[in-house]
Amino acid sequence: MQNKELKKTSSSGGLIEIKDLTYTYNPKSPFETRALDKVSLTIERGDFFGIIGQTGSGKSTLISHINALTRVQLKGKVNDCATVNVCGIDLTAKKPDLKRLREKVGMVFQYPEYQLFADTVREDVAFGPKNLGIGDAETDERVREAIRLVGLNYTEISERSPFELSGGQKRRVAIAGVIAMRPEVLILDEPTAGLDPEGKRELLALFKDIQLTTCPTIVMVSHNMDEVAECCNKVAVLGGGKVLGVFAPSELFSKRELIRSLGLELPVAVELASYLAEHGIPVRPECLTEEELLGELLSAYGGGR
Amino acid sequence: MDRSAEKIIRVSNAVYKYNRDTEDEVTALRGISFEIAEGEFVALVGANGSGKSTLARLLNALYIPDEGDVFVSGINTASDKNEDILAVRRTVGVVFQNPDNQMVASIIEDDVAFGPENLGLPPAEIRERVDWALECVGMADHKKGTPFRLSGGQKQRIAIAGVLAMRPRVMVLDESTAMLDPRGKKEVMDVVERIRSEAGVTVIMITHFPDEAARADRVIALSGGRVAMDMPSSAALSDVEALRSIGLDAPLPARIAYELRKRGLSMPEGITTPDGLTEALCRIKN
Repeated sequence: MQNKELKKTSSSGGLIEIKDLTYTYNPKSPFETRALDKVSLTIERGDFFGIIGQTGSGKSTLISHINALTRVQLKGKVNDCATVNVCGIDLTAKKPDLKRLREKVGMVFQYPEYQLFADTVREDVAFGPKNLGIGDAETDERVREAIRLVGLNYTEISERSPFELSGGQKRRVAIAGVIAMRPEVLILDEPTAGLDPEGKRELLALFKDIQLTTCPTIVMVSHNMDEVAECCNKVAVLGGGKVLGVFAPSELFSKRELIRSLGLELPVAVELASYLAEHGIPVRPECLTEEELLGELLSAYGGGR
Repeated sequence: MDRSAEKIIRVSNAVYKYNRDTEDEVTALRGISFEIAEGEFVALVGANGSGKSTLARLLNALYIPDEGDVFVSGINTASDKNEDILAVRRTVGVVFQNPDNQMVASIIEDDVAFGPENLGLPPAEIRERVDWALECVGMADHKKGTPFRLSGGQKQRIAIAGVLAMRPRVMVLDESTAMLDPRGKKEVMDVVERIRSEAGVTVIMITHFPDEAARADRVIALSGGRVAMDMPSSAALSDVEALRSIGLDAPLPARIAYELRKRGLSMPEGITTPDGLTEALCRIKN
């Protein structure tokens, strides 16, 4: 709901504007693969923007363009008419301001805990802000804030080695390291992969909180449709390097054939609601979440209190 | 001791500590006991840090328990005889989480042949086993290809074939679907079911996913290094409160039945499937 309000106040035009972007791996070799094929997307300030698609559909290539880890291919003519504008920075330029870009776009990779390296949690989280050239006092303040935002206790954890923490805690520390750079856009690549259910729930709650307090725009790549249904206000579906559509979650998950044909799953609530509906139970098959489904069943069967 | 000969796996009061006798000592397993019979399909579940992966490493003698014993087909994994350890590792094969870390050769059939070659088998037998294993995982058409250009699910199936070619009697899958997309997860789960039913391999599957655990006959749940639940999977997966208390989720139909029951609707115990929930709801209506 907050998303919608935020959107109204934003100026016209997207925070991230991509038009006709093409990318080819191993060009002019026998392994030439077109990973992105004239992709166009607009992500607005305040979006919790989901990107879904099978392995190999181009998701990773697309998000790595957003913080210029993958540079727009300027050789040849494929991208002559392409636009890639992120937070006002034109990434089709020969020498875009990458330092400014990376201040604005924070990237949390898959399994980010593998990238922890420092002796203490405090030093690890401070690495990003220090590299941005931020002074000691402010870095310290940002580190404290980031550690608190990811739900960890600064006094308890700051001087410990990140390597002796649990898997879920390590991941939070890694995310704190990105948040401490105070990005305007946070990109999350499969952020909950490998976590247990409790860890997943906590992390999703954390992202929603971060969106409200510090970083209004979040882009999330996920295979977990429950997560997408719960968090995102818009979802782009990628397939074979193309954008097959951008939908609101409720619209997306009513397109069963599209979802199945892409080898993706429906959220478990949608799956169960449609099964029940098919078997004569009075529920709408398009319940997106557990709460919605439960609410429908309670009103149908008069349960309560 | 006769009983241990019957069971393919017997774990008795196993304790395991990391960094033992240092100030960083962490006790991962605090006295674990269970037995698994040949042919069983067991899901080993538990929150992050509950000791699941440590236990997996105890089952093929990668780790030796600090206290208690682990017997594989009657052999104590703490044996100091080399041939005993070899026999344990031949009996129990482990498939890990990340398929990329499990590839050793640039041609798929060479990769699968790596294990049997190391067993010192005659070439004709290696050939036969490799073909059989690739057939089992549905990758026979790819045998001359390279593993590096496969999808995650396909790579993981190659990793499974590599373990299968050693003809283990027990296969441990340590979150082997965690890094895969839905299609890859399904491919791997289907293969697991096939090797269990067709090759008769005992399967121990470590997983966070309740729908995967539901495919097993039995669930062993770990919490804080102890066995918190050990029962048939339908009983374990319908116990919403017990699972929640150790940081796990029951399958959605079980959670819905639980919430409806809490709000006064009559719902029988033991619901874990959409089918079971439908039946219970139909009964209310009539």
